Amino acid sequence: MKLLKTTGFGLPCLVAVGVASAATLQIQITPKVSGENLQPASFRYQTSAGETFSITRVSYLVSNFALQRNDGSWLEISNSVAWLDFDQNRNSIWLETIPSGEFCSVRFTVGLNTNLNHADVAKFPAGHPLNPNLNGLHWSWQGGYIFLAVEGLWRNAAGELDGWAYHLARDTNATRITLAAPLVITNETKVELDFDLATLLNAPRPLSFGKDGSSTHSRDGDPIAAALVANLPGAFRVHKITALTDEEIAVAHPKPLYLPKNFTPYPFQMSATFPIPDLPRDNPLTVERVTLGRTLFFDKQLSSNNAQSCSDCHLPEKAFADNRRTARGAEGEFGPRNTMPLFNLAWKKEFFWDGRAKSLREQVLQPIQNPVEMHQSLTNLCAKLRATDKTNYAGLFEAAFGSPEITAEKISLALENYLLTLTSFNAKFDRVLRGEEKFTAAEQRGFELFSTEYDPRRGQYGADCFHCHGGPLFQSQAFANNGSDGAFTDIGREKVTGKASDRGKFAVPSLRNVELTAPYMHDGRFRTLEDVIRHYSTSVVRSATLDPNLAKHPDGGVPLNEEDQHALVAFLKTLTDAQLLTQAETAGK
Amino acid sequence: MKFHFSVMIFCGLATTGFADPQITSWFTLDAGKFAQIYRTDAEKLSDRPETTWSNGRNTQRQPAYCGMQEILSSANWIYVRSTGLGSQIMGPWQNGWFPNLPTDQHFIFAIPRHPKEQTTHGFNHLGEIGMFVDGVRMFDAGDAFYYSNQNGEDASPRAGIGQGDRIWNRDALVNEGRTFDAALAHQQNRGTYHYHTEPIALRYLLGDHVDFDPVTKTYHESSGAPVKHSPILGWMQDGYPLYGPFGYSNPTNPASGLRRMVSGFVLRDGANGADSLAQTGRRTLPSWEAREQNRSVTLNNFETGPDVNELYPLGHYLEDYAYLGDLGETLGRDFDLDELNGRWCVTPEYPHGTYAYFTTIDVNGRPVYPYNMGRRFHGYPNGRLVAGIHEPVTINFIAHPGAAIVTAAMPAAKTTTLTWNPGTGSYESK
Repeated sequence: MKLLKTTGFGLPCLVAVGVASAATLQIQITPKVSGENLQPASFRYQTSAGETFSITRVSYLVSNFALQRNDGSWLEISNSVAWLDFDQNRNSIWLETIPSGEFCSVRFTVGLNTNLNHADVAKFPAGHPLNPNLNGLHWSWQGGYIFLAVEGLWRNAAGELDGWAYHLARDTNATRITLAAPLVITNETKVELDFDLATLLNAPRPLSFGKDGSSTHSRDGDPIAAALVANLPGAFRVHKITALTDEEIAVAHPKPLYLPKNFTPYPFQMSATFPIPDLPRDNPLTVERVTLGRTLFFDKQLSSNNAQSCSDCHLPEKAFADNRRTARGAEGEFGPRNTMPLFNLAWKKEFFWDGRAKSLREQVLQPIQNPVEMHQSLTNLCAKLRATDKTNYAGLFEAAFGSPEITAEKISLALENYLLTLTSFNAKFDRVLRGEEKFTAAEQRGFELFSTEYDPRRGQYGADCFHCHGGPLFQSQAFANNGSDGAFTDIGREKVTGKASDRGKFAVPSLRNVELTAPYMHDGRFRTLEDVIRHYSTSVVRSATLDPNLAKHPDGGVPLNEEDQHALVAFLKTLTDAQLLTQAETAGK
Repeated sequence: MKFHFSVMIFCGLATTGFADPQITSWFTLDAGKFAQIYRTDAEKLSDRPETTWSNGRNTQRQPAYCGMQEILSSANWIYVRSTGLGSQIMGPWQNGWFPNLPTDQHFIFAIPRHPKEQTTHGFNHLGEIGMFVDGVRMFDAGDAFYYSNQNGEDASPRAGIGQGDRIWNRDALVNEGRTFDAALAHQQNRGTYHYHTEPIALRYLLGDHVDFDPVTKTYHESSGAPVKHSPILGWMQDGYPLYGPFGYSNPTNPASGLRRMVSGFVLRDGANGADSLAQTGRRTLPSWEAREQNRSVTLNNFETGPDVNELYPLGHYLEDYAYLGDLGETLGRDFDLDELNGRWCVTPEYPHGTYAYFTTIDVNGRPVYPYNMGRRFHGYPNGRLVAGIHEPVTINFIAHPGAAIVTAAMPAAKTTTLTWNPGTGSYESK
């Protein structure tokens, strides 16, 4: 039981202030289909028009919770907003300090009110439900959030696999849900709600992917958005009300590892328009650690034969990638995948093309040990660094970690520190947005195409790039099958998750600095940006895991004439940041 | 505060001081959307619109944007640049049999900012009379063909007898209505898409008491009483606004309730005190038209029109209507609108009053004469299409190129610096 904080003035004549009792109310919302638990990515569902479909994503924002007292008045719960996501197992919101009492209804909004929907998203702290880097729902090119994203695949009339993506957005589509829920709150309480997706797609206004369209972006007058808004209220049902068990929260902040007595906090620089990243609290960015990390990054001793440093594949002048088709190791062997560029890593949660490393400190040790990369054991590496007299590593470790002892863990922490400082945010694009430079006509056209959906039914003929490469970072944290192959020699993400639904999926890279990082795709199959654009225009291959946002396009991809393809390339080249190079070399100096 | 980095659809207009309806009333939401047409009923039913088209006569080779592209202003003029193409999916026209298709007109229309009442009532050459707020052209009630007494038939493109006598003017809706699309618009031979009557699709876009059925793709008047004053639908060449059908019951009292504006015109069918053309034949002009044409109501033998019959039914010509003000009834008491189809009144945009035209519909929601304007402008019709702009102007709205995407304001600071604070254990920004 929680207590309301009360304040008194300590005057002896005051009667003791009555302390109101209060409790936490957990509202858990579980996606269902016709009352059954949602089976993601399985082709077991049918629309009322008889179309077979799957659901691969259910991600949405709920806000403005309120409880109705038995006298009919409403208790509004301020600042109640949550991001719920099926894939991330985010299904609950905890409403704190609800005064004890009896209530008869619960009310909330799917979506956000106008103020929240257009708040300055760069101000939300790292864990806030509205931080775009957390929820991936900020529709940066149109302003505001996607309130509800449901996506999946379906079989069209010809029996072919097609994608569907319903994105409900815009202020006017925020939908209020009111449910009768008799509640007696004396202690922690949990209300379990079902969110039935069958109802969402069916009642009272049945939707058919074939008849009504397989995508909506909620533009004005869009009938699919109107149907979703009409169906939403009936899609939520009360499942169960129980007293809450002690699965309570309070995650303590981790203590910093190996913090020396004296250190200088490192000023981490980013664009004022980027969301606030979740920088590691247990590995604080300090000038000393960044200096050590930078020294290690450029040291060839990290490879067994002292032939290769990190920077030999991650060339600073190439946005920390190289121009080889696939990576070449210290001993001349070639790996299976294209070297990834290194910048804006602070906004990523999973690393490598298949996301097999959950943190940078986990990631950085892998290339050192990989036989086709630097091919060196960690024991060996630590011994070499201790013995070297070229660099005073003992002194650098002492300054960074408070003791001269060299361990693999500290190496990983120092490299993590350094890599996190590589931020890119000063390309021509940024300067154009700041009004310091102007786009050429081709660049402007490219930007327009980039940030406009392809949706002929609604009169939109963009290139639909922003769905995956959206936002100020031009990246998403997602893994996607971009239609490069039908059969996979490299199954990508599936190898990590073991899920067939992840077959052929790879990390969606940032498009910042993309001009510098040819060749392209996880296996470096495309030599030029023109080749890449052509791929998305004519050569997208359909398969079971093809991203729904691509699967909804015509066979082959988004039709783009030659002029528009050039315009897109011209726009992509405005994302090149010359400042990254200087920054890389001076970080920590 | 907006997300600085983001871009957004530009739907607001930057103005200084009070909002000027001549600048703020334009519908610019679809400025970045490609115009689309259905050429045939089949395309419409299967919802397969086209963005490029050609029928040999009218060709739209590259996609063009919908309507409004720019709003510019100077001390005396508003300039709007438009493709002239509707926001709604246009067409089909007679299931593809109508010979004209709309094309990008890329015109600049100049509207006088300080409209003035005409002191002499001269006959104004009509045809194109204004611009709707979605950038689509407004034509007058006639269809530019007239009865030819000498030939004993209407002039028409096929008859090869010019345009006729200019005495008995054909009603565009009656004579060409079958070539209108669901929006009630069509285009002339050079591809200018236009309305002659109420622009029902635009009224739907503006939320003016019109519903759209997405299955049949048709528009119809909403049921129930109107709950708000109609919006400005367009601007006449004299600089006065055209409103939708619903105005205040009392022209000077915004609290007097709303009603459908009743025009001052009735058919010359013997009712309402009018004469009966069916009995007399078309041998006299109505008084209002005699005033406009500056002649007597009595016509010479070589000026009369055809008898009322199946081929030339009552309503075939604009002169088949009489004005109630000439029949002893009183403007403002028995009907709402004068013989120009407007009145002096207050409106939401003009709380201190303006002369305003109203589009007229009947009790069933169908367009009714004189539709948007009578046979003359209230003010001096100095508005016109211009080839270029030769004075300094303020840009109030600009769309293409750059289309719908306009960048939002950027923050003053370019960078944010996050630094770890050992006291709180978290990163803090400066």
